[in-house]
Amino acid sequence: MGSAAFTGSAASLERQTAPSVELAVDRPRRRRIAAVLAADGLHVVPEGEPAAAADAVVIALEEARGADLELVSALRSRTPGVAVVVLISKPTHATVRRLLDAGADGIVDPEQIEALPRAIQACWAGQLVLPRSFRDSFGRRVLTRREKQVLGLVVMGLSNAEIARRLHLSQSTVKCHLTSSFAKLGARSRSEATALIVDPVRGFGLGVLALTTPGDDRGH
Amino acid sequence: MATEAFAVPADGLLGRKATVPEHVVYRDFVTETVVLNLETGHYHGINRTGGRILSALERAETIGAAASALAEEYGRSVLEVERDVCAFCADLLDRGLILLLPDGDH
Repeated sequence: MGSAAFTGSAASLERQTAPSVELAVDRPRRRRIAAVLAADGLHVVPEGEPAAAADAVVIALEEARGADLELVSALRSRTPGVAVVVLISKPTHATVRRLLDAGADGIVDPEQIEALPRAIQACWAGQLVLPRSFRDSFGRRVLTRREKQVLGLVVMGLSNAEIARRLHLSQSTVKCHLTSSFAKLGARSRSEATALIVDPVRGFGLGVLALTTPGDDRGH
Repeated sequence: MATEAFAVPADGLLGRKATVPEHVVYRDFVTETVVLNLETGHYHGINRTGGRILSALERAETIGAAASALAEEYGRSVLEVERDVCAFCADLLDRGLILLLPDGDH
């Protein structure tokens, strides 16, 4: 009988089960967040140590505008494989959309800080994490044929009265279709809906209003 | 008001008035002009020059007059612009995006 032998080193048999996390937050928050992550077995890169090898970065923002978004973009481009998780209070649809566009993988409200370790784990595993309240905004948008027609005319700049005349509807019916289509798109106004559709970089594109897709026969 | 939406020889277009029908809406955006045909539900994207031609067609008494105005605006020969405008009009007619008013109805 031949002698037994290991074919691989012990190190090669180890599997990393938790990501290392860089915290891009101010000092008072750092202590609290580090404690929450450590309690879940996540390794926080100590302050002052090079964080180049971190698997995830947590960044706390007050709002999602100019410099904040550039910071998220910079983190994303610095290490494309890293999971970028943003802590931001009471995020709105527009905030979430801007952060996702900038490259965030996860968005967590600090009021739900206990969800952060699992959010980081999920993002590290290649998932996108958003507060559940955004399910409708970012889920499947099934617009009815009428909603597409009405929304299309909003995009073309027509008033409710003009839309009603063109489609032979009452203005209250037009308003009903607009309310439901805005809700499906996560838009709060005509201008926001138009921007969401036609923005050449971040918009859904006019394809979302095409009348030749499956489902157009439903809910006229 | 009688209108026609079929192909007309290019020579015959210049003296005609083109109009955007009730079922067609268009709007200029930053990068293109979007034309919506409510009858087909199709959106058509046209470049800035196409958008300029479309609005010139609506303003002018005839397609020829629109071509002359555009030629002056762009500093090009009238003949050259007439050829381009007629070709574009033929495309718009094919897609039902403009109608020709009968002679003498403008």
